[in-house]
Amino acid sequence: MTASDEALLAGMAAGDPDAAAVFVRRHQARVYGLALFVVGIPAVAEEVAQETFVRAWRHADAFDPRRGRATTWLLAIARHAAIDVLRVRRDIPVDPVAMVETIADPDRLAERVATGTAVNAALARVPREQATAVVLAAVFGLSGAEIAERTGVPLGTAKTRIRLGLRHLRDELTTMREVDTP
Amino acid sequence: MTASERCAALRDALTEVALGVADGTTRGAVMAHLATCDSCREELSSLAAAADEVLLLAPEREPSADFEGRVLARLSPDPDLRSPAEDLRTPAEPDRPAAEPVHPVTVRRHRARRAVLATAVGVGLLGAGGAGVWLATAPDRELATSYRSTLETANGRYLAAADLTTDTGSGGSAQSVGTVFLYEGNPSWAYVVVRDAGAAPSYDVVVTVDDGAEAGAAAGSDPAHHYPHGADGPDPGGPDLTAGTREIALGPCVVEADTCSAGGVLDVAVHDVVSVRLTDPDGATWAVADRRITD
Repeated sequence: MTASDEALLAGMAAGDPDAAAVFVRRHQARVYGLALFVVGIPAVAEEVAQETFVRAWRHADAFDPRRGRATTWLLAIARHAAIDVLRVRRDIPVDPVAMVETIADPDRLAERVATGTAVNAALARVPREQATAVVLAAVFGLSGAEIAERTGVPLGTAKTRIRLGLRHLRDELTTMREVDTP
Repeated sequence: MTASERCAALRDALTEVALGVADGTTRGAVMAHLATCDSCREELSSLAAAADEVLLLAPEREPSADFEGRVLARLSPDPDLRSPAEDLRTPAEPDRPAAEPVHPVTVRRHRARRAVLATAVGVGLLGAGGAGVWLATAPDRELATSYRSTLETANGRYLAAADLTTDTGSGGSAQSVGTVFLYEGNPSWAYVVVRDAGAAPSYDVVVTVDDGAEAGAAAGSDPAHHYPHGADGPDPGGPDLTAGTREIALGPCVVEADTCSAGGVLDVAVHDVVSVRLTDPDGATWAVADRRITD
């Protein structure tokens, strides 16, 4: 029988190291994958991923299943940790726009849709500039001003792209969910 | 401004909060509006859920084979336990006494661990850390907790704390007299709390910050994002302490009942803070909290 994430987190909140072991094994690839995507350096990404699980362990009792999935809760922790590393370690070279292009590239559309993640398919339906802006903010924590500067557009344009892009993505995700639900 | 005009005016702000890129002021304005606007609350909820999903876009990657083992080794029963001996060494000194199990990559791990900072998850700050050496010692944990809760309200993003110690001269051990708190926000600030104030009626709080331009930075560009791989950048642990620094005077810390507290806004990022010191009325340094120490 496979334990649910909620059960594992409850176990972790109670200090059960076996629950932690299963939880880490289950989620390490997506946590490390996100960390690597943001900071770009494998050794640093491993530190970020480790730190993510340490924080999840310490705050397992703060996870509320009514507010979302354990996966996204965990990835939000990873994203915060990764962004904080970027803010402090100015010696890490990172090019968020280039990274985002690797997942926004229309030539890889088929690849992305095939991975089966709903958000991949949904984002494919959002206009490219909007999608780029949303991912720069959501993953790299860039502000409107930073996005404007990096993509070479006025601040108002960047903010509009972020605003419309996120709503567009939300609407696509909602539509897909409605289609799937009988 | 009607209610719906307010909703429209806050659309960008709401988006920023959903994406986790809003500053404290923006977040405050949005939260205040949400207190009386159900539709915006629902809007934020659905937008935040969509923003969370975006994190799934990053491709999954397997870390190294012993990753799981190393994580589990760090899940100790008292994760907040820290010793004062861990405080004041630079990341470039690998021979410091280790409080954790030693692994081949110990030095890099310590440096990177200190570089992974506390931040908000959900609504709370999780812990203290910092680039280099800032750690809360046990007696200050209660104080740190109360500051953290203040920062949670203000969407605090980076709390670092360091021991404030007096120099009792050669051969003497430093005595801890208080704590320095640093908050990275918009703006950043430093706050000093002295528990054991000594003889003077007041002290001046002086913050020393890094001020030199970083070597190799391209003119007009953000140094953090334009170093090519393999290029020589500045050594984060190595610069001469006195070169390229300036001082910010934060004002007096007036002693009452053997304690004092004072603080002020910084015009730099917290990780540019080199040291915070208290000077007595004669100008001599009475106590200091250092990010780096000389040998």
